[in-house]
Amino acid sequence: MTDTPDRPTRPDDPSARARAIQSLLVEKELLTTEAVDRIVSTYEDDLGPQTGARVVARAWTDPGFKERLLEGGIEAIAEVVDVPDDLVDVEVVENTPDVHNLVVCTLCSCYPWAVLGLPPTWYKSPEYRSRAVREPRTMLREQFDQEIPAAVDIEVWDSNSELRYMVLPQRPPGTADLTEDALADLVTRDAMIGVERLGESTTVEQ
Amino acid sequence: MTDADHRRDEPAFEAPWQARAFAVAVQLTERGDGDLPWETFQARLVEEIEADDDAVEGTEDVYYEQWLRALERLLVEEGIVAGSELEERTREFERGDRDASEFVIGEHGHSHDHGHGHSHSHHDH
Repeated sequence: MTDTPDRPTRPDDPSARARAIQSLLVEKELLTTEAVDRIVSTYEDDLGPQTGARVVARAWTDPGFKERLLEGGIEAIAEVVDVPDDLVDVEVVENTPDVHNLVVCTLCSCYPWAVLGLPPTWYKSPEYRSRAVREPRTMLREQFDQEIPAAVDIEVWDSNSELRYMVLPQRPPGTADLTEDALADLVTRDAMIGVERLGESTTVEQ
Repeated sequence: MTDADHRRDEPAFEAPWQARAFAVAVQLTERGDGDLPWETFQARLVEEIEADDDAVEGTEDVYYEQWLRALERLLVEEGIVAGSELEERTREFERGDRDASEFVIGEHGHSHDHGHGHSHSHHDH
C-alpha cells in the first residue's frame, strides 16, 4: 500500500470499510452493536414525516400549541410526539399569505430528523443545495411545479449542525370539519421542507 | 429529476453499509462526555461533500461514500484508531477472514448485513 496511514481514502468495498469501523469501535468499547442496531431501527422504522405531520395538524387546531411551537421548537414538539432527547433543536417557521419558507442545508445535509426522519436524496444533491439559495422561485417552479405568486416573499432557511428548520404550512381552505388525524394526512413531507405550498391553489396545472 | 421522484418516499437506506456508517457516526458523537461532538464529524462531512461538489450528481451511494470517508478521517485524525489498524481490519472483512456474524446479537441479531450467502470463507493470505 502506498497510502499514508493518516489519510485512509482507499476506494475499497464500502461494506468492508463500514464493518471494519464498527468492529474496531466495539473492540475498543466505544460503541455497542446493540446501540448501532437500535439507531438503524429508529431511523428506518420510527422517525419519519408522519411525526411532523401530527405536529402541524396540532398547530392548525390548537392556537396555544402553535404559539408554543413557534417559540419553543423541540420542547413543544415533545408535547405531541416522542422525540429522542439527543436530537438537535428544531425551529419551526410559519408560512403566511405573504411569506413562503424553504428549508435547505447548503453545506451538507442537516435536516430535522426528529420530525421528518432522514432527508430524501434530492435534498442532499448539489443542485438543490445551490439553487435553493440562488434562485428559489425558479427552482420551485422548474423542479417542484410550485408557482409561488410574485407577491409572496420566499424566505430560505439554511440549516446547520445546531439548528434545523421545519416549515409550518398554511391550513388548506375547506378543512374546517376535519379531525386532527385527517388534517395530518394532508401534510406532506415536501410541504414541511417548503418545496410544496399548501393552503392555496398554486400548483401549476400539468 | 421528475415530479414522481420528488413525491416518492425513498427508503431510509439503500444498502446495509449505509445504515451502518450512519448509525456508527450518530452513536459515536452522542455519548454524553462531549469528547466527540457532532460538529467534529459534520465538519469533515462538509469537507468531503465540498471535495466532490460539481463533480458528481447526488445519489445515496455518493452521499454515504462521503459520509464513510468523513467517518474514517474522524477516527484516524482524532487518534481513535490507527490508520494501519483500520486498513488491516478492512482487509480482513474484504477477504472474508471476518464477516458480519460478529455483529449478530442472540436470536434476533438485527445485523442488516446478511446477503452475502456464505458464513465463513477463510483464505490463507
